[in-house]
Amino acid sequence: MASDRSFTLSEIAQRLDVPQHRLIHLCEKGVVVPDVHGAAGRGSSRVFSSRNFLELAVALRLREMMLPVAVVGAVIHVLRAFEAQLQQDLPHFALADSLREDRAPDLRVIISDGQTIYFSLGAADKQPKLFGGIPLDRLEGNAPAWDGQIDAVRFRGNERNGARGLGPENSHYGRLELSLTVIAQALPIN
Amino acid sequence: MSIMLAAKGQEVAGTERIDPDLRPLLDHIAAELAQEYIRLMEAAAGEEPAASLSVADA
Repeated sequence: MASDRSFTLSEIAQRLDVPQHRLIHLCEKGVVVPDVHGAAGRGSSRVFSSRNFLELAVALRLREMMLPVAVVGAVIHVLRAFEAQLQQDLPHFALADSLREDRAPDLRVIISDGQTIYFSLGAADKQPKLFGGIPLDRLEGNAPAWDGQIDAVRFRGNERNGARGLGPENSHYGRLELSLTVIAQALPIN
Repeated sequence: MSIMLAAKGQEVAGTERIDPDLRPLLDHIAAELAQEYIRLMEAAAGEEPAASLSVADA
């Protein structure tokens, strides 16, 4: 099991083949917080958990898709809260480990029409269910004041409502989709 | 730092950038995802015992 491992910044940079400054940027922006040891001062170095490793890999992919840092931070927040929820029932649950298993559910992030973010979750060979539907400008803080109503969360099936939209979320013009399961399975963690 | 602390908002930097008004929404999505994830793991375990459970929980 990889969940009890720890990694230095340079180790992760080397394993993901990215410059260290890109990882540092994600940490300094508060997107990823080192679980094991933060950079508290001069000479102090960050040490990351395997969960952090997955978070950094996901965050890098989302940034490569040109998503703003605030949106990436929200996705990572959902992942953390998601794992915490699961740990209430399964105390030893580790998302990075679980997603790396053979028949792991396929967890994805979908950006619909460049405006709305969804999560999708389903068995690898089945239609997924959709969660979310948050306007990106809300996450970026560019929208009018958020009313805080939790019923804005949409949980829909896979019907396309008779429309000719793209994907299960019925995008009109275009969509970006990122499989967090595939990222986890490709993670050079061992 | 444990993840449970993070979920309760005690983490310092990682959640500072999240608009406090949005946290309940994001946490609600996470809770819905967790419910569905458990359902999928149970379904997979029913088809093939422990197929989708992590080693520690199997």
